[in-house]
Amino acid sequence: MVKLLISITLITNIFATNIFQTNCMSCHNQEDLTLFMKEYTLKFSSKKRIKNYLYRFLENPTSNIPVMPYNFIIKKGYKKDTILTNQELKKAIDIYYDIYNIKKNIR
Amino acid sequence: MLSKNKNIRKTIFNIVLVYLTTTILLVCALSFIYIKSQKNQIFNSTKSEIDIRANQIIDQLEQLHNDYKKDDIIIYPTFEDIKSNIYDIDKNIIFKEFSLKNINFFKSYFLQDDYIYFIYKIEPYYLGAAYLVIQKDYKTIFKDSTNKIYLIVLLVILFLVFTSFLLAKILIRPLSNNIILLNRFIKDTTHELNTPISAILGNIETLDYDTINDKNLKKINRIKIASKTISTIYDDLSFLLLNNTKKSNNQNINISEIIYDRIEYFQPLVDMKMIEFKTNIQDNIHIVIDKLKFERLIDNLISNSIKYTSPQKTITVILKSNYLSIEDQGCGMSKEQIEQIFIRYKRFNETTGGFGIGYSIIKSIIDEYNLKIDINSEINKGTKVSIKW
Repeated sequence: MVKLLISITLITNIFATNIFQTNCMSCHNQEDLTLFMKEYTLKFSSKKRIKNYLYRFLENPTSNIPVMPYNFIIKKGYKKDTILTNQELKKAIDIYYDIYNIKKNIR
Repeated sequence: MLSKNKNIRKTIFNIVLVYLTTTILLVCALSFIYIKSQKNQIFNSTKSEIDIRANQIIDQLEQLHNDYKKDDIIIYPTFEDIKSNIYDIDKNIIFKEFSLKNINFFKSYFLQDDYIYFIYKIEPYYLGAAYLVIQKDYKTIFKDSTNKIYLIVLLVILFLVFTSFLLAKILIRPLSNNIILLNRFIKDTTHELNTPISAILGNIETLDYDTINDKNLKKINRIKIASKTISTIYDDLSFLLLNNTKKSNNQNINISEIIYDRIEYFQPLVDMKMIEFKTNIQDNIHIVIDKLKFERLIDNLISNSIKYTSPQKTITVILKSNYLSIEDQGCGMSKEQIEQIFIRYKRFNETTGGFGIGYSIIKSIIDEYNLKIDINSEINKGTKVSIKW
């Protein structure tokens, strides 16, 4: 039973990580994602506010004012509407935050 | 001599008390203002130092934020003289050097547990930090300066105590000299009165009354009464003047005999006023007391009763094993008068004469021997004075 539970959790995590990798990292490299997180952190400060903003922005990118500088948007273009469900989007944001959170590296 | 006088001591005490109270209050008020201004000054200088540190931290946070690359380790800027924490916009801790609960982020600074805390808002939020809270040891900042102030205040108060005593003594010296002179004069006068009064009384007692006709006998009796009155006044004045310097000679004495003796002593005066003495005196009652003081106590109680009792009335003297009462049918006293009766030189009736020292003497004796005195009086009916031991 325990083995089954562990297996399910692992599979779910791998699946979740895949959501982030397949849907985010397919377009953005590590450098971009670090830069985004620095900008979000600078503007929104807390985990809750960063995630909230990301969710609102990714849900409907055109109607939300992007945080990234104008030149960056010109270069990369506007983000297309997401094809992920709400739950998948939230999961992808959570994974992104956990991996790229700056504050965890302060010593 | 100066310190021996109770009144002078009391006056010195009062002057010192008023002087010290006002000056100490003034010193305390000035110290309070000074401490407050010192605190403000120290606070302002501390604030400036902390402001510099806060700017340094914020600058370094900015630099760390800008230089950050994925998975870099960020070394938080620390300083020896302060500790600091950073919080995000939702007041969640990002990095901490000290632990502190319940921070009011609306304040710019606050004091808690011997520390002073300064709160700075950061924007944009470098590394996510929206608030920077800096902790500085508050106790050590103020401890030295306040200790110095308290020491100075203590020294000033000690100096004031010393000068106030000196001042009071200087101020009181002319007055005390006059009192000493007056006391000496009264003492000498009463002493000089003693010899002629004793001579008069002695000679009257030894007169051969069989050879004197009724007319002269009456005259001699009046002389005898007048001499005894002067003698009682002399005894009271001597008691007042010498009581402080004389040591009590306490003995187990038979007070029944003394009371009989004193009643007999006052008999001519009572006869002249046509007052009747009723006595219920238990024999051989003994108490430990100075004989002269007990005589003064009885004499004053009886002479007061005689003084205020109208002719053809009665004075009742009762003595039991632990109780003595003298009741007269005189003019009586009001409650207010009874409350003031022990005040020296207080007189309620100017027509009867006297110095107003009788009850003052009674009070000093009953206080010395822890006796209990009860005065029940009714206007125009009389007064009953009871003493219990």
